[in-house]
Amino acid sequence: MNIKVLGKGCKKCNMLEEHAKQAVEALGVEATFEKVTDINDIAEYGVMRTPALVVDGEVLIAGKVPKASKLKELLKK
Amino acid sequence: MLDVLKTVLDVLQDALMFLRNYAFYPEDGETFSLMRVLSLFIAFSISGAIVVFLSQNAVLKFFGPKSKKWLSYFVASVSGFVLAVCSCSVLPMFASIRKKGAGLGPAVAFLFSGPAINILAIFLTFTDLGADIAFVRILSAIVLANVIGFAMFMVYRKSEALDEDEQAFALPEDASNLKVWQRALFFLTLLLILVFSVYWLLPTVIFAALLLAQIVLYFSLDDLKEWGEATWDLVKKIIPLFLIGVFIVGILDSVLRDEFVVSLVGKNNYLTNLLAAFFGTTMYFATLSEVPFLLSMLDLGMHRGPATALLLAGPTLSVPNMIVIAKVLGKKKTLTYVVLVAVFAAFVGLIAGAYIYQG
Repeated sequence: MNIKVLGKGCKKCNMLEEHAKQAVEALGVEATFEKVTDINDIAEYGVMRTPALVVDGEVLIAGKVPKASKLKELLKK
Repeated sequence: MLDVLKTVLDVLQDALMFLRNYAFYPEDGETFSLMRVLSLFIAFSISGAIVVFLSQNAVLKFFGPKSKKWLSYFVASVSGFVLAVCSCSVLPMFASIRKKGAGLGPAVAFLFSGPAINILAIFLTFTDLGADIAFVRILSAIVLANVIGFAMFMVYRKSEALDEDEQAFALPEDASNLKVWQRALFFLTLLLILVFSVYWLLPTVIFAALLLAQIVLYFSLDDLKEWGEATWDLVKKIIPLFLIGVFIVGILDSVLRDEFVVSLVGKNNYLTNLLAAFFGTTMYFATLSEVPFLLSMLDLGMHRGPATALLLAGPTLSVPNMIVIAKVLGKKKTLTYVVLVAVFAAFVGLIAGAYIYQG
């Protein structure tokens, strides 16, 4: 799957990416990570609050940093 | 050479003293003020509670392209209370609501008022700069957000072309297991604690007991944990930069001469207010640090009119901010916005300086 982390490079964005990576590893799936930092690109996704996680083009999380275990549940679907 | 070094060291020492006095000894420079640290902590807790217990999404839905315009303006101009703590989180929201079809006017109103009227900024303005400046700041931030937003809309009403997407504003309400009245009572109690903590210990203790009762009765452990985390998050995000900001203010405070400040902005007239407003629009202030900066400037002889102009123009705009805004709005609209902010901030400073503040 393709995972994009949306955010202007704040601490929370890095945390979200970190958690997502842990979740992916725990699930044992293949995933490519991308960072989206340009404010206009972020807005394209209709994300109002950063950081956000976009998985295969779909906004999964916005404005929150869930724990890796919770992300695992969400990514399973 | 040795002289220069000594001067530099003196200045740094002055700045450290300024920082220490600002943080702990605000009244007379001798009595340690625990209440100050405590009430700052309460203010941060309220901001943390806003993040956790109030639905930010509920506010954002008022910006959709199909919302009533007057409602969008109004909500935008007061949304700073609920949404934003610093301009860094305002900008992405601004970009998104704009891209997905919020009118230029409400989006700009939001951009302006967001960083100006959050609870931390108001609290600090109130305790450091006085009630009159604090009230002028709140009221004029709300009014100016509407005025500047509407002015932007009027100037550019022919070029409203957007990829409108009402769907993007249909956000899920952040679920909270607390009922509305429980949350209302909770925030009311917190605010009362904050207000009284500045002046009077006894009611503070009573309200704190009331707060504790509410927490025991209604709150789950997860609620508390989230609240604590959100508060700590804000502290981590804001305090370090803020302290650096206060330190830099301390350096300025030590280097700048009274006569210099007085000659620049000691009077209340067109020039001083425009100068202060222009300085405010370009200068970057770390979140909240505009308050200690003005505290020092007022002390050095700045008039409260231009101080108000700077306070209105300062937190919303800075050169780095302008660059990001220009990416979203384009250069022309951004320039118009900057000019509008500077002119209106100067105007309010001039009026407030002449008619509201005494002495």
